[in-house]
Amino acid sequence: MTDIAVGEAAGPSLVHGDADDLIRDYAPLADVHDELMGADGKVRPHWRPLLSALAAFDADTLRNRFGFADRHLRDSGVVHRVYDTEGGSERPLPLGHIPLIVAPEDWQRIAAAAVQRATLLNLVLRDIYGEQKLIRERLLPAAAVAGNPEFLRALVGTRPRGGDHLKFFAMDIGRGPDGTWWVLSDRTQAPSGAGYLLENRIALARALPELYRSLNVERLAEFFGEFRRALYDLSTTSARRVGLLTPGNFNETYFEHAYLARYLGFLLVQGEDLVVRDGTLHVRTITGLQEIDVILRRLDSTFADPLELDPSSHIGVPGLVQAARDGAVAIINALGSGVVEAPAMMGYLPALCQKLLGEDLELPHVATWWCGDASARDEVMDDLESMAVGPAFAPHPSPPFGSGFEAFGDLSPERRDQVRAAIAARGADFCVQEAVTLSTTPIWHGGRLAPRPFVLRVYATKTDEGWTVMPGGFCRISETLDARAVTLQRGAKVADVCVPANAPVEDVSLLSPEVQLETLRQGDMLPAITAENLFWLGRYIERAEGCTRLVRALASRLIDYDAHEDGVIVELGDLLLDIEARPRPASEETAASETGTAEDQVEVPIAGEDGQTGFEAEAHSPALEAPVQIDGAFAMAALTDAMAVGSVASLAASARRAGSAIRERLSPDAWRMLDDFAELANEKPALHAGEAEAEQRCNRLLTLLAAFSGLAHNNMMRSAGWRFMQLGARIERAYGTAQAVRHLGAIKRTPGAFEALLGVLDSQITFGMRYANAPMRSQVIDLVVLDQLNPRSLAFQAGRIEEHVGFLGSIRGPAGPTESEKLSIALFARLKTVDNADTDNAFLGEVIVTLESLASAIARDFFSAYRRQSETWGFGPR
Amino acid sequence: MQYDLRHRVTYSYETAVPESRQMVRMSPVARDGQRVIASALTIEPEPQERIDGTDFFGNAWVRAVINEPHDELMVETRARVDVSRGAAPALQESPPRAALPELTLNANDLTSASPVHYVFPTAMVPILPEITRYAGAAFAPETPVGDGAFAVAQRIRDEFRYDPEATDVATPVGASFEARAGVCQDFAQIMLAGLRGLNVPCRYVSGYLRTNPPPGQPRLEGADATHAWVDVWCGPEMGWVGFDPTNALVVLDDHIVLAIGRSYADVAPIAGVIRLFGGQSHDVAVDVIPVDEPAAVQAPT
Repeated sequence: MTDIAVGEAAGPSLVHGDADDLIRDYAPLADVHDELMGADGKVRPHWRPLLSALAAFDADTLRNRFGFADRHLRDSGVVHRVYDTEGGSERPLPLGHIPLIVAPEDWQRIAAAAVQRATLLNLVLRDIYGEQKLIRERLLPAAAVAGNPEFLRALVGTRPRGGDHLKFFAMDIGRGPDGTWWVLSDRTQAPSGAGYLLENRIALARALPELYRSLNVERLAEFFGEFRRALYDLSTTSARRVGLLTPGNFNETYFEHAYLARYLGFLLVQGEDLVVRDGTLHVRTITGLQEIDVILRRLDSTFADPLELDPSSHIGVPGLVQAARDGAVAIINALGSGVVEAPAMMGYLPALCQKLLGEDLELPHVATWWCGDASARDEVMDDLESMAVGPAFAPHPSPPFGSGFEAFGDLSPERRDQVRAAIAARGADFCVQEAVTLSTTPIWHGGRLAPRPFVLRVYATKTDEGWTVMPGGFCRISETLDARAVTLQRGAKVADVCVPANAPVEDVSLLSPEVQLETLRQGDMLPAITAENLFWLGRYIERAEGCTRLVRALASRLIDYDAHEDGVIVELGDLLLDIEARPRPASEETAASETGTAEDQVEVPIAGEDGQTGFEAEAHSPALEAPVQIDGAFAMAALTDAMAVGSVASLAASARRAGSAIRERLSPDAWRMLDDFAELANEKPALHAGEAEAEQRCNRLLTLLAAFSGLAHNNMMRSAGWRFMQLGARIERAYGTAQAVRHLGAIKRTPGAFEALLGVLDSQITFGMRYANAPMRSQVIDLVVLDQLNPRSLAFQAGRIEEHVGFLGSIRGPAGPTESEKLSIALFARLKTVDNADTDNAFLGEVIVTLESLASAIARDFFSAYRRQSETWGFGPR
Repeated sequence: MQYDLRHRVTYSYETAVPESRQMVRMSPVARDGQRVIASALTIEPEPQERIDGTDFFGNAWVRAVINEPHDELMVETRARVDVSRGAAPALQESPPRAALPELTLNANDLTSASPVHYVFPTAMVPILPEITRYAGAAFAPETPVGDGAFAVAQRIRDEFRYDPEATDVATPVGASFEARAGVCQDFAQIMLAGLRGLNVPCRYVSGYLRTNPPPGQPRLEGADATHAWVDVWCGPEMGWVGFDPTNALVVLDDHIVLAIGRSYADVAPIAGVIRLFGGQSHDVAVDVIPVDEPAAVQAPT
């Protein structure tokens, strides 16, 4: 099935008998261009290799392969999401499994047009923010610029570092019935989709390697390599750092940002990670402020700086505009670049192209009339029936329109009147566009090919040698057969875009030596907020594991019930109440917090919305009225009841939240484990599920946790980030061990308590190998508290904590020991020198207090000094 | 008329603020009919970084960063300004409102003097149909812009209640319009929203208004206030004319301009970011003293 000839080697002989089957029912729409099939009903030559390759698979294989690609995308988390305009909710765009094949000769034209438009818009931007000659010469109305919220007055007179406003450009194109490609819109603000298309390509190429080999498709990696080099070349500091500025993990394209940062080796930063000091931009890291001077901006310009742009923005960087003005930072694309992507600009581009480049536009764009121009408005007002109407400065809305265009003919009579009146009253807020029809491309639908309308996004980047175009793109496909462009503003599916190469393509990987060097340079840059999230991820995971082990110990004792062990069951139940896995009855509330949390407030950046700030939950779960019944239902609820802040379900959700904020630092496998763990922990139990189900659930949860920890242990770089995650886990385990020993290791022993303690601390096998007798307190204490070789013991945790804190202290420079170092040294020393006989509950209480102080000290030493949480924004008094 | 201005804003913080970043627009600059004889801006504590500049609208700003813990921040401007705008323009000679869209939208000027910046909605001054209708009821399309703008200012003065408790610095224009109450900032923004809805270019002006102490009594120190009003573009010949909707006045020599912009957001005297751990309070003291007037006395506390 592999030896299928390539590219131009056309001819009916290559079409497998089955290939005809594939297109037997394929029926292009009337008066619409179809990419696959010509008007004569024949498959176009550049599609034949694909059809032949597809025909080589039987239906089951194909279904499996497509399923594989879907799973790959879902597991990677890189799923393109759009806001559903109707429901207002987010929905993912699934992968359309058939790539769009663009003929090389078509592609040449498209690529030339992309270079031309990027060049043109770059020059227009330079003029708007510079001399404004085009405006004085009436090639561009001043109001078509001034009315655009993306025209940033604070940037007028500023020339971006390197001279270019645009470094990354995209345009959406479609093909009309006569076969001509049309430009539908330009993207200059912060073009999205590049991460998705990359992942789509990887998913499909892995699922159908034979197909991709036979298509001899142009690779994408080289383009991304050039893009990265162009950005690194803008850096003038010795550190050579590039940051990708994201609005944050609540943004619908955050996963793409994390993915691209990882792929390109850029540092993923949010506004609060950055600070302008002494005219220079810095990242707040665990080792203090580190310079950074190139920013790939995925944040809309207006949000970039509350001091000089939108004052309500909490996701920007105060002072960034001044840093850009001073040339201290190169921002890609430059602040204010979004102004030229407005529909209001479009009608003026042909004349601007003539003026600035002395040539016609390579590709026409959709005819667009800005109604601020009285003569343009008069031209189209009587013709609206066949037109689309929308905001002049889209995506900024102009009531009665939202952010997009609508087909006037589709509007209700009342709305038509409303729109006419709005245009008559304030024409400058609106544009009218010719309604265009798109071409169709095949998707895989119900086991066969079916045509669907699509829009293609083409990308270009500017390097030292000029603009270069990505040989591929982002294709959004409609779910319906309505081929009008206006109905496909968001799309319903996405597809890979393939440009067949004329010569065999070479393998290019981004993992070239030069690239690795750059990646390593980023290795020592750990933003403080990222460190804090890693720390909390470690804590939540470990806390969840400890809780799960307690539940399992309880469940197994309920299953093999022995009345002698009633005391142990009560102690285990009490432990679970202590850690708030279940709410404690109101009557016992006051007695609950005996350890006392004298610690300072430790805030959690992402993970902390539930109020879990330290060892004991701050916001207590609602108290129960009735006395607690320690039974199977209790055990199950300790796992699954997300209402209790200390339940495994809650902890898993918190771990997942902390993990999602540092998504780019976790491997896809680790992320999947975390995801699966959170899902299983939150899965609703069957009605009347008891101890047996609880035990089973515990076993499955512990398997997933072991897989996650194994991945973290084996695959994570031993960088500062790993240290913070470990530190969180060690502190949490030390705390859990101390608590367990307090409850189950008391001198006045409860029958079976020591066995339970060894079980909860996973140390019964070691104990069995060492001692033949029934456990005695001194032996148990030696193993779970003092033995530095037992990875579950308190002393072992203290040793690791000292090591990690020492390492982290050392990378901060020679300023003397940090507070956290002093505390960790003292803790380890105390555990190394205490006598077995002195390890009573008072001693354990002392250890717990030290751990709490240590967690606070770590927060102070590494996180809180750089936190922006407490900032107050806004205007002064009036 | 010459004035000695003093405008002081003092913030007091419950706990020390470790870092503060402020954008200060409190220095008057020379404009049509206004000359600055002397001006000085003081910030205490002394900022570690201080940059002076001029924004798009020609307003002077100072960007200050204070990196040392401080529990009080004081910004004070002292200036002597000469204002002489001459007689009120003949408003009835301004072009009719209906002629303005064409004059504005055909402009081939994108500098801040151009009217094109001042007809579009902004975040703080959106165009709302109810306010457009309210302004339109007092302002027919064939009415000269100057007369119509005065009529709108007068309608606002007559029908709105002056009430500092009704709104705050961030109250949206729709809310103060519905309440029919507010202060000078609200009235100015309502007038802006209404006129812009009618395609009349107009801009937000912050500044000061001369007040006269009761007859026979001396002026109290620090008892004046900042003020806000509206500049309306009355066609290319007449240019910008000030209208004060709080007092239903055409702006003459009693008004001193501090800053202009599209809305309050462009001219806020102080806007900034601080790291704050406790509460804060502030105090504003303004003096607008005609130069030939006897010295003021301390206000009783």
